[in-house]
Order: sequence, then C-alpha cells, then structure tokens
Amino acid sequence: MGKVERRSVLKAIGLASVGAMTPAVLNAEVLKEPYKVIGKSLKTDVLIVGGGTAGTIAAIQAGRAGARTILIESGSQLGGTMTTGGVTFPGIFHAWGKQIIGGIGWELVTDCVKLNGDKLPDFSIPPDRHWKHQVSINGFLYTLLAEEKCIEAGVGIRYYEAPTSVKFVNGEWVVHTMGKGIITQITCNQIIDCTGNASITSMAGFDVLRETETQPGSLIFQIGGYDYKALDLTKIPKQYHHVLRQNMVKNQLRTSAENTFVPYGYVYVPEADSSSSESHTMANRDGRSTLLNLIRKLRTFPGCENLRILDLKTETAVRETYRIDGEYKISHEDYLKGKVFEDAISNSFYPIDLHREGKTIYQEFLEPDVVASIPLRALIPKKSKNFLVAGRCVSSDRMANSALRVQASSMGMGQAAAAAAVLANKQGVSPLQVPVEDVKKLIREHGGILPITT
Amino acid sequence: MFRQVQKKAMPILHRLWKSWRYAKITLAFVVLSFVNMEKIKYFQPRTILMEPYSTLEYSVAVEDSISDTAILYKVSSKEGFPIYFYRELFTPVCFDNKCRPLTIRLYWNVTGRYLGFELPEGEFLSKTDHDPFTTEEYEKLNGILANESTPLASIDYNQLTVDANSHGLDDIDGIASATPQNLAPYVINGAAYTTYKLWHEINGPMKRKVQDLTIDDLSPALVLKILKSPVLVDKIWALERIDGYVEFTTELKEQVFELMKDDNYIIVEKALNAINVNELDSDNVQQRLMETLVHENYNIQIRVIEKIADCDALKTSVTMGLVENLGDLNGQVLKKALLVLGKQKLTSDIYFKIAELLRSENRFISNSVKMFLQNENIKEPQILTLLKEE
Ligand SMILES: Cc1cc2nc3c(=O)[nH]c(=O)nc-3n(C[C@H](O)[C@H](O)[C@H](O)COP(=O)(O)OP(=O)(O)OC[C@H]3O[C@@H](n4cnc5c(N)ncnc54)[C@H](O)[C@@H]3O)c2cc1C
Repeated sequence: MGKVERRSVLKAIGLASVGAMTPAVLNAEVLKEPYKVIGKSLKTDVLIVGGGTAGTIAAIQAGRAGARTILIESGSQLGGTMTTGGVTFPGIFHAWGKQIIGGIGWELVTDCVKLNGDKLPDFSIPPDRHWKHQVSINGFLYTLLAEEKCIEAGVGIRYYEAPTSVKFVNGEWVVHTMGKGIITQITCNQIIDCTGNASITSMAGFDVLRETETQPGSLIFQIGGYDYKALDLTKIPKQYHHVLRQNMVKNQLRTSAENTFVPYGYVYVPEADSSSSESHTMANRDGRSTLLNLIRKLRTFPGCENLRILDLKTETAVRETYRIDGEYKISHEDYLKGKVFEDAISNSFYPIDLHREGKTIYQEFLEPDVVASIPLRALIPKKSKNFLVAGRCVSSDRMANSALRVQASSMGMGQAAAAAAVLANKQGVSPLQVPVEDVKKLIREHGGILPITT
Repeated sequence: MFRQVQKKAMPILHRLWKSWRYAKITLAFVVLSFVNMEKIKYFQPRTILMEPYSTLEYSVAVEDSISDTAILYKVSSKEGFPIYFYRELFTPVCFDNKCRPLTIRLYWNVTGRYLGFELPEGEFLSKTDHDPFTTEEYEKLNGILANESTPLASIDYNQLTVDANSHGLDDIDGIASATPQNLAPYVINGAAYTTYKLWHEINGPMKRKVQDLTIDDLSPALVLKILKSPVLVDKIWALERIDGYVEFTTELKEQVFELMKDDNYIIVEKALNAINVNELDSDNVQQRLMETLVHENYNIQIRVIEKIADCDALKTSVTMGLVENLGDLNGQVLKKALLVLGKQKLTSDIYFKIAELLRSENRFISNSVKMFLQNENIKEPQILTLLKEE
C-alpha cells in the first residue's frame, strides 16, 4: 500500500484526525455530583409485594381487571421459586381427567410450552405418579413471558425494591420501600402480600405463624460430563448414587403419554429462610458450599473425573417459613377430604408432601375424585383491612400447607386474591366485605376454575 | 352368586391347601368348576354396542416365549363396523419350577383400550403356590389392566422384586422409585409376573395393531359412534383421528361443535384441534367458532381465538361479531382478538365501533384498544382526536 493510499484509508476510518479528536473525548468526562438516593411518591389501587409464583399472576389479574397496579420485587426478575429458584415444574392443574386450575397461570404455562415447542402431558388419564401431570417448562421463557404479560396489563414493575414500613393511614396503606438508589412512598388502597414469607403481613402488624422446625430448602443445579450408565457403582459410596443419578433422570424423556421429566438435581439446605436478606444470604452460602464440596467429592470417583457443573440456580429455593393467621385456617382434614367451602375461590390438588429433616418425604394422596379447595378467608389475615395474601403463606396447618404451597395452587390463589382486591378497591370496602359471588364472577371471567359447591 | 360362594369358600380352602400341597390344584379345579359352570370373565365398558356378525383373523408379530406371531381376531357388525378385538394367549404359569399352561382370552376395544379377559370353562388364574385368585383379585386385575398409566409400563420384569433403595430416586421432590411397596397397587400380590405379563400383552404391539385396524376401517360414521362413547379416552381418541383421517361431514361437524360445549376443557381443546385449517374458510365453521367464543369461558376462548387467528380472512359477519363482543373479552383473549382484527380489512364503521372502547372504564381494555388503533392507519379525524385525548 502506498503512502497516499494509506492516508486515505486512515481518513476513511477516522483515524487521521485522532490528534484533533482527543481533547473533545477528554472534554466528554465531567465530574458528577455524589450518588444520591432519590425519593419518589406513587399512588396506586393495588400493590403487590413479591413477583414470584403467586404475585406475578396477581399482578396480571389486577391489571387486566382495570386496577392501577404496582408490583414490587426484591429480586431482578419475575417467577420467584419457579425461575430464580429453578423449580420449573408447575403443578398440578388437572385431577381425575379434568382441568381444575386454569386462568392466567395456565395461560402463562401453556404459552411457555408452545413457544418452547414442548408438549403437554396427556391429562385425560390420571397418572400413576402425581408428578407426571406437572408441566416441565423453560424457566427463561417463563420469566420473559411473565414480564411481557405484566407490562401488557399495565402493571408498574419495580425490581430491586422491598418495603421498609407498612402503615394503614386514613383508610389507605402507606408503604415505604427501599431500592437501589431510591426510596419510594407508595400509597395504595389494597395490598397483596406475595412474598412467600408473609413478611408484609407481619410488618403491617398482623399475626404470622412458624413451625419450630421447618422443611429444608434446596439449591438446584445440573451436573454433566460423565456417563451414569458406564459408572461402576460398586466403587462409589451409596449415598452419592442418587446425586449422580438425579441428573440423569432428565434424560428419561418419555415417549408415553406423560411427556415430562424431572428437570434438576439439588442439595438440601436445612433451615433455609428467605424472609430477610441476611437469612437468605446464609441459605445461599450454605447451599453453595455444600454443592461445591459435593462437586469436589464426586470428581474423585472413577468415571467422574470430568464431572462438571452445567447449571446453578440463582438462589436457594425455600419451602417453608411463615404462614398467616387467617380468617380461616385450612386443616389437614379439610384438604384430604376435599372440603368445598362456600367462599372457595380456587381448587388445589397435590399429595400432602412434607420433607422431613431433609431425609425423607412424607406423602398422603387424595382419594379418587377428591380435589381440595381454598376459601377466600384463608387469604385474609385476621383483623386486617384492605389486605390479602397469596402463595405458600396461605393460612393453613403444616400438613395442608405442604400440599397447598405448590405452584398451580399458588397461581390460583394469586388470581383470586387480585380479583378480591380489585373489587374491594372498586366498592370501597375490605376484601371480606366484597360479596363472594362478585369475586367468583370476576375470577371466572378471567379463566379461573372454581370449585363446585353442592 | 358364584362370586359370593367363592368369597366365603376361599379362606376355608386356603387353610386346607396349606398342608395339602399337590392335591389342592386338582381340588381347586374341581371346586371352581363345580360352583362355576360359567366362565370367569371381566369386562370394561365397550364403545360400539352392536351385535357381532363376522370375525376376521390377523397375524401379528409378537415376542412371545412360545411363538413369534399371534392371531388377532376382529369382530365386526353386520354393517361392517369393528366392535371389538381379541386374542387367545397361551402362557405357562410357573411356581417352584412347576408349570401349568394357562389359556386366557384378552379383549380390546376398537380404540385400543383394554376391554376385558375371559378364561375357558374351568380355568382360573393362580398366585404363588398355585393359590387361585379371589374375586377381589380378579376385580383388581381388571382395574390394573384397564389402567394405561402405571409403573409397570416403564419397569423391567426383574424390577418387580427390586430392593427398595437401589434406585435412589426417592428423595427427588415427590418422586419415588419402583419398589415392591409402591408397586403393590399395580400388581396382584403373589402374581406379579402374571399381572406384568398380561399388562404388557394388553399394552404391547397388539394394542397398536388394534388401533391400526380400526384406523383402516375409519369412516365419519365410525368416528361419530366413538365420539358418543361414555369413556373419556375413547372420545379423545376419536377427536384425534378426524383431521387428516376422515371427511369432515356435516354430522361430524355438528358433533365436534357439540363437544365444544363440554365442561371438560381437555375435550374442548381436542375438538378445536379436530378442525382442519382448510375448513376455516367456510362461513359455517367461522360462524360456529364465533358462537363458541361468545358463549364459552376464558380458558376455551383463548383456544378458540387462536383457531380464528388461523383463518386467512374473516367473513364480514364474523368480523362484525368479533367487534361487537370485543368489550366482553378479557386479558389475552382481547389481545389476541385485536391481533386478528389487525389482519382484516376494516371499514370506517368498524373503527368507530372499536373506538367506543377507548371510553371503557377498564383501563386495560381502553389501553389495549388505544394501542391497536395507534398501529392502524386511521384516517377518521374524530378517532384521531379521541386518540390524542385519551
Ligand atoms: C425445592 C422446591 C421444590 C418444589 N417442587 C415443586 C414442584 O415440583 N412443583 C410445584 O408445583 N411446586 C413445587 N414447590 C413448591 C412451590 O414452588 C412454592 O411453594 C411456590 O412456588 C411458592 O410460591 P410463592 O408465590 O408463595 O413464593 P415465591 O415463588 O417464592 O415468590 C416470592 C417472591 O417474593 C419476593 N420477595 C420476598 N420477599 C420480598 C420483599 N420483602 N419485598 C419484595 N419482594 C419480596 C421473592 O424474591 C420472590 O420473587 C417446590 C418448592 C421448593 C422450594
């Protein structure tokens, strides 16, 4: 390349004027004023705290029913235990050959299945194992679709925020939240606590309950880099077989009607508690160090020399913390007998499923044709006003809760709680005063399936 | 009558047989033949309730210990409709290396579903130690064979006696492995192999052959008969075999749209899937879909509007119907309906009608409509003013 030629090339790419540009670039740097935490004041009809399994559905329902809705989520995405916790296995929407939970949760799940090119299990045949009717979903897609649907419904999503105080003043809730560089005051008519931990209920001054010993949490991961079938299991201590096997279960894609698989492996995290940053940090640390040690150990076994971790969920998923003391407490017996309440606003179907000391699972199955139901009163803390909850903190005894907490039921509760909140806001009353038939009508209009009262 | 006698006789016989090892087999034969001159047979509901008229034989490849082919019989009505299928199974039942041959006739419904079993006169099923089945056990077996979704489907025979911890799957959330305890509901105690073997016979290659043979005979009239079955899985089987299998006749169309009123969403979805895209051009189908959209609930409306979205162009009356009902649609159904309208050629009148919803007291509806109108090439000044106002 000749001299002239090179100069014209340099000019063309703008380098010929490098010398001339330098001062301008330097000038672009300005001294900024110190980082300031700004204050903001917002007003809304319905405030939902916690954008997890139940909260996402509640927010979409409230928005679609026409209420001004704000959703605050302390994390960075929607879905909670389903996505951030990695439990991408929602269930159970069908029982005994019929759909029993529908509406917004089901819409999201089926959209997710379709967009991922997956297939739904054949729900017409009751399966031999309940989990075969859970739906395996792509968690990433779920996060994206949930957010899209919230935005479409006009929901104001606020990530990275959490309430610092909750007060009922002159018939309205005043909630202060703290986020990254922002303090917000939100004034609203109705609150729905979907934190999973009943945190807002407690902050608002209503009673919450907790077992002396809670079920362990789980940190979900995937490992690979070895061939389970080729392993000589006689050379590997028995307690590790299931860890190695669990991840292989993923590959058992069924050709039969129940097109589903178990999407993960996990380590138990005893006493995991997500109700404060400190306790959740501890649960994450414990889970991660247990997993790291496990990986180190597994790699010492013959055939596992190249074992690798392929996926690790963002945080330890938590099974059990606090429950509200509600206007009605669903009992173990109510659940197993499939009691249908006058104010039943959602079905629920799952076995009693208690993880004891992180070692065994206690299960009790519902008899044929039995489906449990959830009364609206179980979503309303005693003595509360303009306040509801949805999700695993539903008012229930421990055994009933171990079944009620599952994702389809949590979604059903989210939709119902929002319907009650929207109507309470419209009618200027507390959720308990809204005629339950109005709540049921609104739920039905948005696809919720109501228990059949005889 | 026989069952009651048999039920009472069993415990007594059982005690007697404990000490009387070999003679008891003979005794059982004698007793059973004495009390029961009829054959032992158990059945599930049959779909096609017509009189048998003719029987045809088909040779089917099977992996039997005795033979590698088996004869499948198709029983049909005078009009030529298949009614049911059966095969004779000859299999040894062994215990302590002592075997006796067993003959059993297995029946299938036209949809491939298990229909029943029948033993020849004097024949009976037996368990470990050659104890005969009790009435309860026959009934339980009938239920087990009718259950398509069982762990028997995915385990090897030798897993029937597996040690409880050998899989290590039990601590995955709620997922337990095949163990003798949790297999108990799916096998007859003491006759696990017989149960396993029969279940796999029922659900093996013969089942597929039965379905294939019915598919060969499939006609709109046969599909109609199966659609009227009281059994859910039969209805679904038939609904899945309309599109691409038979002509969508007027009668069939009527029945499919009738099923869209079912309170079971599983059926409604399958009924919608039964409509071929080519049918969507017809006025009648579009109109019926619109009626379903208006009358059914949200979960069904979503699937219906998705079906309507597959129509190339909507008939004017259907477009009008959609616009008129727009204000009653919720959530995703409304969003999808607006997407459908976005693909149609809309008149000024229609835009005005849609624009009325800008005043809906539901913010979600008014905002959705506003977004829709903003994306359309609207020329009407009044609507443009409204859009600015809102
Ligand atoms: C390991 C494990 C396995 C499970 N397996 C299954 C299964 O296979 N199928 C099934 O259906 N169910 C399963 N479950 C149960 C089910 O997933 C949960 O019970 C359910 O998802 C809980 O829903 P939720 O809405 O109450 O809480 P979450 O989904 O946990 O949502 C709570 C949300 O609130 C946010 N939040 C919390 N505190 C605050 C705050 N102060 N401010 C703002 N935001 C806050 C959180 O970040 C989170 O996003 C499992 C649970 C666990 C832990």
